[in-house]
Amino acid sequence: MPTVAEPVPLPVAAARAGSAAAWRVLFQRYQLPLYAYVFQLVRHEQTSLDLVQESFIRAVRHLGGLRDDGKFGSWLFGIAHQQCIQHWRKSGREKLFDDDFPAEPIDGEPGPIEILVRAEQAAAFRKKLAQLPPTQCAALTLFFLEDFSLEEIADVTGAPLGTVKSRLHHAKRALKKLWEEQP
Amino acid sequence: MKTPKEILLETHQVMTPRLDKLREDVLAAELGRNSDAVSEKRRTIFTAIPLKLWNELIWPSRRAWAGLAAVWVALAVVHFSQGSSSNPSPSALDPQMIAAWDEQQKILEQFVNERTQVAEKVSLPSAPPATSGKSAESFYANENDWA
Repeated sequence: MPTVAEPVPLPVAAARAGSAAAWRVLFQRYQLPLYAYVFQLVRHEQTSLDLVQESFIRAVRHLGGLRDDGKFGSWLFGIAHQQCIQHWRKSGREKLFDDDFPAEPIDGEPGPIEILVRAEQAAAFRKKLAQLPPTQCAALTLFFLEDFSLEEIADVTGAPLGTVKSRLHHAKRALKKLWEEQP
Repeated sequence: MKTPKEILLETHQVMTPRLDKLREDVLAAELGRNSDAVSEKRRTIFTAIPLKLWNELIWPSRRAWAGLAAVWVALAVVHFSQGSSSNPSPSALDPQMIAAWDEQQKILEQFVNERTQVAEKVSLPSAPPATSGKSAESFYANENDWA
C-alpha cells in the first residue's frame, strides 16, 4: 500500500522548539481530518470538538516524546484515538471497540478499494461507512483520510499488524458489498 | 464523482471556523503557559539563590560577619588616614637617590658603548669575491701553455 509523502516537510522540529507559527501550520494541516476521524468514532459534534482540543493539548505537551518527525501525522491520530477510547471507557462503551471476530491471517496486502461517489450519494456513503463495526470503520477511515500504511494504522490504533490487515480487508469487502447493494 | 476522502472532509467543512478558534485557544493557552513557566523558573532562580545564600551562609553566623565587617571598616579607615600623609610627592625625592639613578644610567650607557666597539673589532672581514668562470678559463689556458 503506497504511502503519500507530504509535499512540503512539516515544521515538526520548529514546533518542538516552541514556535507557535509551526504549531499553527501543523494543526491547520490536520485539524479537519482529525475531526472527521474522531467524529466517525464518537458520532457527536461537541464531543468530537472536545476530543480534538484535548488531542491538540496533549500534542503540544508531549511532542518531545515523538522520535520520528516523519510520523507526526500518525502520532497525532494515535493521540486522538486514545482520547476516543478513554471517552468510551468513561461512558461504559469500551467494548464497542473490541473486534467482533478474531483476526484471521490475510495473505498479502488488502486489495485496493476504488469507490467514487456521486455528490447526491455522499450521505448514503457516510451512512454505509457508519454501519461498519467501529474497529473496521476506524481502520478504513484512516485509510481514506490520510492514506496511512498498515503499519501507521497499527500505530494509531495500537493493534497488531495482522489484526489491522484483517480489519482493513473485512472493512473494504463489507463496504463494497453494502455499496453494491444500494438501490 | 468524489473520493471517500473528499466526501468525509466536505461533510465536516462547516466545522472549520470552530476548529480554527479551538486551535488558536489551545496555542494561546499552551504556548503562553509554557513561556510563563519558563519566566517563572528564571525568576525563581534569580531570587532563590541569593535568598538561600543569605539564609544558610550569612544569617546563622551574623555576629561573626558583623565583627569581620567592623574589622574591615577599621582597617580601611586606618589605611586611608595613613595613606594620605605617607605618600611621597615626586618633588620630595631624596637628591642622593637621583644622583645614584644618574650614575646607574651613565654606567649602563658606557657598558653598551664598549660592547658595541668590541663587536665591531671581533667581526670578520668581508668574504673574498667568488671566482668567476672567466678567471678559471684563463687558468686552464695558462696550464695548456705550460704543456
